[in-house]
Amino acid sequence: MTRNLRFLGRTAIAGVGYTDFTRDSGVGVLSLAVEACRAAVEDAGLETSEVDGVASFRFLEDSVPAQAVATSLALPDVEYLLDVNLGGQAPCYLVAHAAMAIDAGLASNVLVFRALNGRSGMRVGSSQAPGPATGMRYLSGLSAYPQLIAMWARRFMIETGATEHDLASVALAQREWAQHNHRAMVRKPLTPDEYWAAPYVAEPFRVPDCTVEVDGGCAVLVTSLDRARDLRHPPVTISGAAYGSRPRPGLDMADASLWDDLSYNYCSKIADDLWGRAGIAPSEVAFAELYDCFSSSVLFALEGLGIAERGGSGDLIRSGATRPGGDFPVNTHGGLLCEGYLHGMNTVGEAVLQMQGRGGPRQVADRSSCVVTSGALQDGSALVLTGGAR
Amino acid sequence: MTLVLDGFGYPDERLPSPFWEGVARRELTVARCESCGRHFAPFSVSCCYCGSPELTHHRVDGSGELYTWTVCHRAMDPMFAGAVPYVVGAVRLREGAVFYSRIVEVTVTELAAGMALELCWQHIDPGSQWMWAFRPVGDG
Repeated sequence: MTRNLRFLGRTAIAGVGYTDFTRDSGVGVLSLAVEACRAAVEDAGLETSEVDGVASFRFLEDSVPAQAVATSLALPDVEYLLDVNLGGQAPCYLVAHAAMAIDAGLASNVLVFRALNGRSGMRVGSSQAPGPATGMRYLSGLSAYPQLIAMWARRFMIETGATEHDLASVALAQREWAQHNHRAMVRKPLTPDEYWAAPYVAEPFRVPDCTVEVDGGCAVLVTSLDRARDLRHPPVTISGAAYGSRPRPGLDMADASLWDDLSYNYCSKIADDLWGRAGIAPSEVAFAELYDCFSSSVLFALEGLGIAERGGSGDLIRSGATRPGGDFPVNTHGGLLCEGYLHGMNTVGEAVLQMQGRGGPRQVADRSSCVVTSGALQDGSALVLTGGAR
Repeated sequence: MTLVLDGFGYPDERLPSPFWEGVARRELTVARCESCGRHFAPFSVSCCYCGSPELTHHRVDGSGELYTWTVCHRAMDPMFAGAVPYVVGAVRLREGAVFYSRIVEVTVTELAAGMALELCWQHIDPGSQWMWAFRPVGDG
């Protein structure tokens, strides 16, 4: 439903913290989680002792519980801990949850983090979510996310007329951004010839259409807008939030066998709520950080959220609008395709850096508003952030 | 059969189920809701369209059409290392349920939405259990 939600416009993200992103961290996930969380608190300009809430997500058992981080940070006053068993659909959802808890008075300063040894440890892309549909998929040879999402992408191409050229446009534009991001795992320039020469992983996805698995952590600090105004960086106001799924999200995270139309994911379901609650139109938002485990999910989001017309997202990207210097920047860190697969927590992190004017060589010109998404499949979430300078 | 299925299903779920026992006999079944008449897969505790618990296992005749597909060039699971490149599709059965399945006896350039398919059976590995697959209609 579209209605005024009290926490919107009254809560903010005040800081962001990262660990290094590597292929082999050499440490346990708790170390990564604590390092990212400490960095976010320090970045905000708070004392760790002022943090009273921690929220996180993990897929199966690839990370540590919020209580372990609260314990390791020696939080003196724990009022809010939240763990959810979700993947990429979680980051915006958890930021909204933390904001709700803060506005309701349950907590004051909440860390939302994601940490995992996604490359050297448990690799989510090929791990098995339990459920009756899992055996049907795995024994049919559908054992990893690139293959599953390739089937969404193919149906999207059938329905909208999109082609592999549209997928290529996403990978090429984002690689340009990545060259300005020291954190990006993949930074070397990508030419169209190199794109087309890259081997397929699961058609229509070639290697550059797929995210890069990474070890690392990322955290943001959520607080009230009033408190954020007194902190180190300009507040990033949480002005819109939505989570949702169309009917029959499935029996496990990857089970889309009951989904009516694989050419639409959650984005089209939550768009009206998101923009209605934020009070701005998709044509008015200044830039976007869109969850991109695979290139196709950028096309789904641009069209599903109404930023591009159905079938028009490839043209939008090829126009140059989403690239460095364009008038509608998208995935300014290079996306998960280039920066690495922190399951979209780093997508939120990049939005915060940009909104606060800390994008460095990749800083967008107009940072008055940003849309951020989390997820690529049946369910997902999004935020509209405001407050930056135009 | 249980060896291959080990690890699937919810933790408290007992496998093999009537569905997988049917597969072992080369019979493919979907859930039929006796309340609203819809068919779907996988079988569950209640109808995902109307919520009714009145479900029966309904054997399908195995005709359907290709809804979407991917050509897998990398085996993410060693079980399929010898099979790459292989095709997996979502098959919309005549009864309405969608089934993920290997698509066999097909060349990649033939693949098209709406392509008429029929059920066939194969072994993933020699000696392993039967698995369903679909192939273009009229392929022998």
